[in-house]
Amino acid sequence: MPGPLLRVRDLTTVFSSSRRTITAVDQVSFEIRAGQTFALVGESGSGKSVTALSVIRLLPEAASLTSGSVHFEGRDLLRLPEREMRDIRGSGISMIFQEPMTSLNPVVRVGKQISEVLIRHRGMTRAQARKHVLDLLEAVRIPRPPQTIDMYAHELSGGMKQRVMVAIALACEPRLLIADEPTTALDVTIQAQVLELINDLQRQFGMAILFITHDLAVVKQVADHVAVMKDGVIVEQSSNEVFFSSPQHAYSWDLFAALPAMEKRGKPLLERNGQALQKPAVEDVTGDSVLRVRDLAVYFPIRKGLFKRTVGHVKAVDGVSLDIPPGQTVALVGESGSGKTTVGKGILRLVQPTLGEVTYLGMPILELDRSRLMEQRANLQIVFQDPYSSMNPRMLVGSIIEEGIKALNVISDAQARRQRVLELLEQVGLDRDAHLRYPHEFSGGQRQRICIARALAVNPKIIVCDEPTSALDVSVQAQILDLLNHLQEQYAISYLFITHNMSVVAYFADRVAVMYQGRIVEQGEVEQVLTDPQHEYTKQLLGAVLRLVPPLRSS
Amino acid sequence: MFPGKPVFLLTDILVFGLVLCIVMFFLYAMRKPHLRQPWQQVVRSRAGVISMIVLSVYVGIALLDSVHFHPVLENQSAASGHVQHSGEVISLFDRMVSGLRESGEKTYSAPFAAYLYAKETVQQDDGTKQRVYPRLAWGASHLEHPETQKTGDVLRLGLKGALKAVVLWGALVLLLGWVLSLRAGRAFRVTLGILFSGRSRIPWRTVVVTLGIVLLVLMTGAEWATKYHVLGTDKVGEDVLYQALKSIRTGVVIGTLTTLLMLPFAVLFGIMAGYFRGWVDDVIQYLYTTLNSIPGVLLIAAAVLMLNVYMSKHAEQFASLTQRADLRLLFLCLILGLTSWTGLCRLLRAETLKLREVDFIQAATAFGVGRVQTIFRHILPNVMHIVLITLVLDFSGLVLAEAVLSYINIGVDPTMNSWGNMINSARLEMAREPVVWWSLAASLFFMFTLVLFANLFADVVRDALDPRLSR
Repeated sequence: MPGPLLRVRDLTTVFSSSRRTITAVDQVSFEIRAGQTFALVGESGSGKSVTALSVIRLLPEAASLTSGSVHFEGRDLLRLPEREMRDIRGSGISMIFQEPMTSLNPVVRVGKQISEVLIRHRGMTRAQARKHVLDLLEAVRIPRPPQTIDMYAHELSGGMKQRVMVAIALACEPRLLIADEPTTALDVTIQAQVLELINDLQRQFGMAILFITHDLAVVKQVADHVAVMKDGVIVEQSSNEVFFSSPQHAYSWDLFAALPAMEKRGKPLLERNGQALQKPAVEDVTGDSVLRVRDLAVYFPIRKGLFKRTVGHVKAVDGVSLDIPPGQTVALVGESGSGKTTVGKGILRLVQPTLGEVTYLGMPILELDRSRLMEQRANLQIVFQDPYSSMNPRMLVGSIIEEGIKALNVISDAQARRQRVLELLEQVGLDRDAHLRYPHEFSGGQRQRICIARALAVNPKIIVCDEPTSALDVSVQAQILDLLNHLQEQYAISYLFITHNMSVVAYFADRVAVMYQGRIVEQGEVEQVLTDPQHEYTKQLLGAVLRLVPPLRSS
Repeated sequence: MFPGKPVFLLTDILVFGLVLCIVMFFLYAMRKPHLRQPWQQVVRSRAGVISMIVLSVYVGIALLDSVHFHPVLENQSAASGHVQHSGEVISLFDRMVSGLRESGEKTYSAPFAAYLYAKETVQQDDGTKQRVYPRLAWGASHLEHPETQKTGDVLRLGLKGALKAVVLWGALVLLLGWVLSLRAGRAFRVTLGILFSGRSRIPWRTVVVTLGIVLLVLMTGAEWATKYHVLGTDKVGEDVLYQALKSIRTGVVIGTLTTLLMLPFAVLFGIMAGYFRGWVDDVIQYLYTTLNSIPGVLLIAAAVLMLNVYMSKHAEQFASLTQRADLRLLFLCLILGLTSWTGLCRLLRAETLKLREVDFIQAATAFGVGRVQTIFRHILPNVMHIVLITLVLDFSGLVLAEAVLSYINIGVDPTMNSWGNMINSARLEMAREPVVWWSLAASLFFMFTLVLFANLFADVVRDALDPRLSR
């Protein structure tokens, strides 16, 4: 049996600035055999991308390799001169990145971007290269290659762009493909297609893959061998079967525990042997819902010409009807562009709906004037997806939380207001002294807690959660979901939970509404919709979701 | 005691108002970590501290030159009990360099010269007339035989100035070391060691070295200036060094006040256009596209000509020539500001358009926070970095613009000292034979130094404040 294709020994990469040095990758060793898929799993900041960049020597300037060796087909990559390294990067090892939107040059036709590689590394003529590009586009299953070859990146969808990236990576038939979160930015249905494509191409070309991801379900699907990284160290390495049946390291168990799933409904994710949650029972749902949405429509006008005449409409939301019962969670799922965020913002009148009615406890929200609407603002609140942009970086956390209380005059006494801020911070699991710090001093999960505290500050009855966990790691997601569950239990708040993550829906929601192209195609109880979908689109969506049954702890 | 009756020129008031604002901003910023942090980065960069030291010399001179008064007339009888003030307006800076100001010659003389640059018919002791280069009235007048004594004298004076500089520098370094060791609670010798090793966070070694060089130049220059015309004299015999130094105020005033005057328009209109969209945006956009399509020089020329007509018709409104010149300077700032606010306005509009869709603004809307409050609490603080960057970047451009405008006679008043006026008059001097080069050289050198260090400073400030560059 020949030696491994890639052998990494004791690789250590250090980031140094004038103030301190951080060891991003610490004594990492692994081997990849020809034709094998090796998955590197870990949460953000665990050093998995830096490991890959160290292997092909594309580290940023501040980083340096301090020890270790990388052997590719017997050659030590760390000792090669840059000229030879360039030949290896393209023809021996290629890479696909996470973000297909920014990896392609927007002003060069996609065909040319692929043929550049062929001309540079394989010495083809222009005509030969063009012919080969057509074959490659065919291989990555892009429809109508002769048209696509002359398109620009912006004319392609996200999935198509990622296919083009795969085509570029495959152009020189590399022996090793490094895929850095290649499907993270894509919708589930597209993700399934791209994974299948990579899998097929691997068999066809017989290449090895170093697959970097944070998603255990994807790992289960694609990997032969799994390595779990935490804080720059590989804590566990084993084959797919062994890892998913009996993981060894405590951290791997924590990762599995944090995964939301249908089986864990009603129990907190992180506390072991936790008490079952006491949710108000689902009674007559349509009878006394807190929020009724009927035929909600949001059209964005398309304006043209000197006088900005409206020539048409983009129907972002086109006739949505929903009911949110008290103390319950209604999940709104759909792929990107389906209009689910616009529904959330339309309900709060952050964008002005074109048609329809929204009734909060009998009050027509859309017909209120400015001052009447102001009174109702306290009852309807929102938590955003991106915890980095949802707080003013120039304000103290205390004043951020206080802002709503002040603006809506919930508590008029300054002393009492400050007291309330401290209570809120404690409630969402942060230190009291956090109120004197700035948002940038907190991690993503902590920021999301602050945002929840801000929304809670005005005692809302309904919180619209717009993908509150999709920018977070699984373990942090679990903390936030536990917190939201806990708050719901305590205050009987209703959530409109907007998400694209089916396993979060399965764990967290009571009812679910599936959105597709601005309309709700199916809604009902979570168990019913997920186990017995009626609409064609729901079936397709659920079919694309990668299922992962967490292993059972034997101890 | 103030040496006379104070005069408050409009630009003086504005300049000191600006200084007050800057001081207050820094006192405020010191308490806010997110505001303090980028300025710490400025102070910690070498280019930052060097340019700050050089700029502070310029600004210091400009500020001294901005305290105006009517001086007390000399030779008064003490018995009258009534103090007479002179009609002319001078500044504190004029008083400090009164030697230079009052040391007029007849006409051109070269730097460090003892003789005039032009021949004159002089009556000899024996009654015959001869065409010679006469001795200067003031420059090198203390020497018997300038031909033999001058080199030695210049060297001696230079050495004296250098010695003074070294003593002063030593005293300053010791003072700095003492203050720093007190603040850090370290032994004095340890602090001095850190100071000179260059290992400190703030590059103290660079500070100390720059300070040394600046002091050396200033002190030797000052020493020479007591006996010579270091940069020669101009056509009417006025000291060129004095003119160049006086021009500093003009340059600094134009560079800062113009931006200050246009700032309210740019900030208000830019944010309003971006935040309210709709018809407000349309009106503001049409306004600045219209303004932008009028050639700036033409607009400035027209405005300055109008002002000239006004001033000659209402001569009685102006108490002195200085006041007239000052009004023209302010008017120039105003009109330059009017033509230059559009750039910043456009930048701020774009940034606000981006910001208003950001989640934290949406969150504020969800809390029912009012529009005015949203603008002042959420948008303005988040576009301030753009304002500051534009302010420092525009400064050097405006100093150069003054030079160009004065060159084509639509700049500051011809009686006001400015680099542009100096360059304008040098136009004829360059055509003269033998050529008179020192006026042009002096103005270029002083302007170049200011603009160079202002640009260096602007670069550092941009690096520190622009969120896209840091992190």
